[in-house]
Amino acid sequence: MARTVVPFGPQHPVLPEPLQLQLVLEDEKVVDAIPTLGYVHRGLEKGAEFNDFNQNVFLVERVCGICSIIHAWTYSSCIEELLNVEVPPRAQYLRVVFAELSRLHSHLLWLGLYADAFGLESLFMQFWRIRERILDLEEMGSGNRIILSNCVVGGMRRDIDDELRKEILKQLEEVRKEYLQVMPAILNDYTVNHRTRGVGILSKEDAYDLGAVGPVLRASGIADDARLLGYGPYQELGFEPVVEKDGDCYSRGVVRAREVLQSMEIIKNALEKLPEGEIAAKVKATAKVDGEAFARQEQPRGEVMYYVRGKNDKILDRIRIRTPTFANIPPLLKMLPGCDLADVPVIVLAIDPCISCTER
Amino acid sequence: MKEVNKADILNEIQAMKDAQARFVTMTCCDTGDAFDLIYSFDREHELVNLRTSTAKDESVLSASGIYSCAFLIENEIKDQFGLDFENLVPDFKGLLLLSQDAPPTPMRRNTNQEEGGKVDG
Repeated sequence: MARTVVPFGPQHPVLPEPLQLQLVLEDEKVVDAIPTLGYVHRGLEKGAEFNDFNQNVFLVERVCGICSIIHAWTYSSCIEELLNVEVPPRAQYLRVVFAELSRLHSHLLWLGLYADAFGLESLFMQFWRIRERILDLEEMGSGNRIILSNCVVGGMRRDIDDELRKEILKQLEEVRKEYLQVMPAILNDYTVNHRTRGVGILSKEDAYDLGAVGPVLRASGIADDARLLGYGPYQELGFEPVVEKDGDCYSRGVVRAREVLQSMEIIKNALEKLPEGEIAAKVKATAKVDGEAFARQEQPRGEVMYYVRGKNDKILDRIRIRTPTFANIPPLLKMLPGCDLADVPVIVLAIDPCISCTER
Repeated sequence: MKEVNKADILNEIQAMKDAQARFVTMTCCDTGDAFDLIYSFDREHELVNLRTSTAKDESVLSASGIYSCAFLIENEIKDQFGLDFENLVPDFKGLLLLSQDAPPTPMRRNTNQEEGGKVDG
């Protein structure tokens, strides 16, 4: 049968950011997909070679707005390891609170986009309305809504007083009730089930073999989450990864939907157990960074890895950032062959692609 | 970090595959007259790193035959540093991230680069 090549993207209704896939088709069936990247490549790893280690916190936050705090935290933990800085327990708990808030608003954003992909526009607005309340909480706690600039090398920039702590707990409870009213509307919807169950299947073996991370990996039945690695107080807060078994688009949605509730629980526990004390350790601005360090953390889309190499100077020799969507592109290319052309947008959206992260 | 001879790197990567380690990523560092290549794997939640070194004008055997997902990062390294990988499939020939008219190999140091990409050390 004759083959046709259809470009998908870089502009497409389901893509908030530009990514192109050249889809090789036989009739309506996809037989191969070739990615084209580079539309938003900003050279941030190169840019990091011009700044000192403190300035780079603000640079790495701009790798991705959605998970800015986790970029800042992962990078800072590399520098803290190299400078032997001990971060106060209160700062570690505050980092968890803001990291989980960031996961909440990322997953709510995705759930809204997912609803929109099926034409459920009012549901899209409901998810984003709830998300706005999370952004309000971030603004109350850090002064910013998206790029928080709250995490610095050594700890946090702003504390949460008791009044704000209680307010966040109160509002989270309200958000939880609103979310529980809306969530079943997407998970139980006939059209959503019909179009996502058994679509874009990634087996457990393929997910692991192709280096999948985050909800894509966990939806294929693998209980792997960087929050199990021991960074931050996640173990003290009773963290357990959310896992689904079917490996299809529906399972990826369920993992994220359940993680929203889990993040709310983690935030609640962290705020209730918030230790007293300082929020930052002192770090000399003139400190010289030497040696090399790796750090991995769990972003909303999966594991991020930082590699930092110093050169006995304030300016670093190298920062390398492996973001979760970069790791999830090879699994995406495995999911597409065999599917119908009409299913491609849903499959692409189900990995929650972040192209700004991918290209840096 | 385990230091590995360049000639042995594929054997070490195959050993990681046999140990059911997950491929995390590769990192290329320009050390001036050579490239350091670090291969990172996750083995039961432990990060295992292998480091090898190569002269800038030499190529390295691609890991994409063992871990097919390595093709993406190897193509990125080829774009950014100009390091060639033998048997890389698919090979974007330096155009994964960069366009035809972009300054070549922007992360490579001590090369003839124009203003804005000039870095020494």
